[in-house]
Amino acid sequence: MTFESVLTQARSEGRDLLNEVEAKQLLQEAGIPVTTTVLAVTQEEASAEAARVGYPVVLKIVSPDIAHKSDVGGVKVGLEDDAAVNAAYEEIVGNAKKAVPNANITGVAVQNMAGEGTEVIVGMTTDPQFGPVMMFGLGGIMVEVLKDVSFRVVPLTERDAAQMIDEIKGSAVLDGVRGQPPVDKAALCDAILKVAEFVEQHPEVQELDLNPMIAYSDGAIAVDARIVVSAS
Amino acid sequence: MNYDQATVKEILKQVQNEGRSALTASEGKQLCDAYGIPTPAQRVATSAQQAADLAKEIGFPVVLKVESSDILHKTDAGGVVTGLTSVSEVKRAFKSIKASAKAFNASARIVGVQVQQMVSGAHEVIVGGTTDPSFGKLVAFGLGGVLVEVMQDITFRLAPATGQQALAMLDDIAGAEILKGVRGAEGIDRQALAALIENLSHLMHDFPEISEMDLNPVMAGSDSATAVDVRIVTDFSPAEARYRPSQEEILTAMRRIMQPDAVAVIGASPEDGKIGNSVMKNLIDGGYQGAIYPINPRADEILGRTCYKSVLDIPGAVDIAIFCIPARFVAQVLGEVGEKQIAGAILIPSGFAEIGEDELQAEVLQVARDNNVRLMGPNIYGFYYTHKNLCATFCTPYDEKGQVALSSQSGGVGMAIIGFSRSSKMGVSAIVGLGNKSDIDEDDLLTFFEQDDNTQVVAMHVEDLKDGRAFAEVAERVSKKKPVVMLKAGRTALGAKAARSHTGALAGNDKVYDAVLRQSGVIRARNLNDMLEYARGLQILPTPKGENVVIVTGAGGSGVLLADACLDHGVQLMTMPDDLDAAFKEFIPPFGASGNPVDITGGEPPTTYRNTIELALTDERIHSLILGYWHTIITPPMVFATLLSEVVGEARQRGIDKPVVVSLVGDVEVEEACRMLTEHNILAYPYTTEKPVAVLGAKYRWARSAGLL
Repeated sequence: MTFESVLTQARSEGRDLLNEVEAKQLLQEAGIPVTTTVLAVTQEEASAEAARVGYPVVLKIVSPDIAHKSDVGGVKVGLEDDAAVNAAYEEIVGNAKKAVPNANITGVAVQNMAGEGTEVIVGMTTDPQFGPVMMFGLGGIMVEVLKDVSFRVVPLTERDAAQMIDEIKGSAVLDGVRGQPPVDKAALCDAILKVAEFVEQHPEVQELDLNPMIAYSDGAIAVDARIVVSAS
Repeated sequence: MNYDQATVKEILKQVQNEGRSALTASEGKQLCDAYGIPTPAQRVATSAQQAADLAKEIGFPVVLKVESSDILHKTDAGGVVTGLTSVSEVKRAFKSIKASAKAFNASARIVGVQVQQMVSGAHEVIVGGTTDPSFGKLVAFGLGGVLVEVMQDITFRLAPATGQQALAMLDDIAGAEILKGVRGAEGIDRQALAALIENLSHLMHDFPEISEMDLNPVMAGSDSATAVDVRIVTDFSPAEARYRPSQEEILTAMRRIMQPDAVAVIGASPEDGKIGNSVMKNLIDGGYQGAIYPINPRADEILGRTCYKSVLDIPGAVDIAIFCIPARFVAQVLGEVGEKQIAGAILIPSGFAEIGEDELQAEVLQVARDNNVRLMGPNIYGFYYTHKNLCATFCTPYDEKGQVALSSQSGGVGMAIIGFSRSSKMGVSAIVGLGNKSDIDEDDLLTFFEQDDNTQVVAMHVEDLKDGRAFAEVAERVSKKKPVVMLKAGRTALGAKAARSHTGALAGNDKVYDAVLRQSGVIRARNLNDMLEYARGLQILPTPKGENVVIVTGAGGSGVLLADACLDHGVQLMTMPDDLDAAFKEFIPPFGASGNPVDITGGEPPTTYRNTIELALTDERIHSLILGYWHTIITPPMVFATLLSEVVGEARQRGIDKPVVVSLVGDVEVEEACRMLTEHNILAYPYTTEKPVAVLGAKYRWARSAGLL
């Protein structure tokens, strides 16, 4: 799957939002760590993919008409076995159809479940003046309310990325509080730089979110990804 | 709310008898029960079987926690297991807790294991109480979890807090939105949480021996607030009682001190350059009309005034004695000052606590107390009271009479006050040096200024409050009548006291000051210049009658900056009604912008300024006015200043007195224009779009907290 083919496909369908599976595969090719995510269009496929990626898994609805998957009951986490995956598949599709009756449902994304860690957000937005701008912040509702984020204009140096991580108000969380080990800042730095390179190479990308990305004492991985491309 | 004080008293007594400084979880729960603080159902089990039986009785899921007053941080000791859903899980958890606790602290007395109902709620919050060395009992509130600790998003109030204050605390934190329900989550029961905060604050207040208290977490749900974990620390050593004369006693002494009819100068000197000489000269040259008695055993007359060997030799009554002698002689002479029934000693000399001579200062204070003399200082420049032409200081005389009283803890700041006052022609009623504050402090001064008709605004530079609680009480009362501004120096955390609770650790000293000052209606200045400008501006500006503020500007650029400053300083720009908008449009060129700011555009003649300002002053819907002037040839600075003085003067004659602040930008002539406007009692500032709005904002902050808006 090349960027161009995904872009052509999306545009031909009149979409500016890439679905999660498309987004993650592009990011993975760009060297950005994401949870393995594959599309299943039937219950059987879902159960086969779950076995392949390894339990526990997460199932999420994939539909161009549904932006906030959790709000419509379109996400099931911590599925431990085949039975759970089968039940979840049906429930998710049912919920989605009920919430958005005319929704065009592409399928269900099956992904392996990341372990617990520190949630962060890595993102990019296109500013009318400055062009692509990278964003970094801690994840979660609290931070959304406090708007504790940092920005840098693309392209970024390593120093820029490191400063973005350190200059948020809650950076002490990343250094480890209450006996927690510090997170792998080098991995976060690397993810920020790779995303910056990715958007620089693909000016069609208007917005990008890795939300959340889970940071560990060793490594970091994006659990959800969202990419918005320009219409033409 | 009826509180069961007897139960609390009994439990605390037992804690004291057993020589403990912390309560067990079940004791903590009993205190909560007595004060209407909801906690989950819980019982103590001493065996695994009993734990399982209790869990069935309470209902699954349950939490198990070690019960021991020797283990304060239970999680660290492996003493907590949550989410237990079956008998077998409970039994296993019981055994593992016992083992971990023993391993953590072999000598810990383990009473048993708590079996607790597992409460879930929309949000984890923290409510706590702490004891501040200056402010006494405080109640704290913040969101729970790691982020509170990292972000320090927490707020404080003096205990006891009222229900209203408790509710206001919920909105004080940066993350307040979360409690209202974001992203489809339910909002919390604000009344229930506020009641819990209020009740805790009463518990802290009623039992001073409770030094710290943590309810962490409190689960705040859509219909309840429940304290899941309770930690209470006690300190049975009684707090040192502070010397607090009655308000009447303070006033009797402070009136004689601040408005004396007779003054003695201890150590008066005929020799130029001596402090005792400068003080004499300032008293005389300042035009003081009361009696001046120099005291010096080696002179008969100083600067034409009869000199005495001792204050005891003075024929008439004396109100204050100004000390200009070295520190080591102060105590001895102070005895005579007491015998003479002099109300106050103004201790200019240094050489006391500020250089580590705490004992000498304590000795002097003891003599003062024994002899019923109040002390100002030591280590001060003295003080001024302009309405008596009194310059009891070795600095320069100051005579610009006005209604602002200022105090400073530092001599350098005192000099800055004098220089600024003189330069900006700020009318002053008093300038007071407080130095080491061995006795007279801010609350004594406030008590005096409250009833002093010559004072309408008070501004204070403070490094620390010796008794923050007393200050807060007086300030809350005074600030309702007269604005009180404070510059609190030293914003970094105190950190001296090792805190044993989260609340204690989070009580960064500056956050406490910030909260208490706000609670007391005191306007906080962030820096020296702010304090001085606020003091000057608050005196001149009338109290606004409402929140509608309009900007009229000749420079679009200034308009934008002034509007930005409004946002920064809590000044609310009026949404312009259509008819008023149309009325402004009548006066401005078609390419000008109406709305708010009203941009009259740059090339306009004086009449445009006059017409629009007149309209803004006349229309009753507009409550305050911010003007942005831009230097042009067609309306030069002095022409603008003249017309503005006239327009405002005419309006004042018609009984219209709205707050008007002016920003002037242009070449140096705008400075002269500002001077002229100042002479006409209009607040005008050159080269800044920030200051006029900041000062107006300070006036609004005061008016709001005094309940005038």
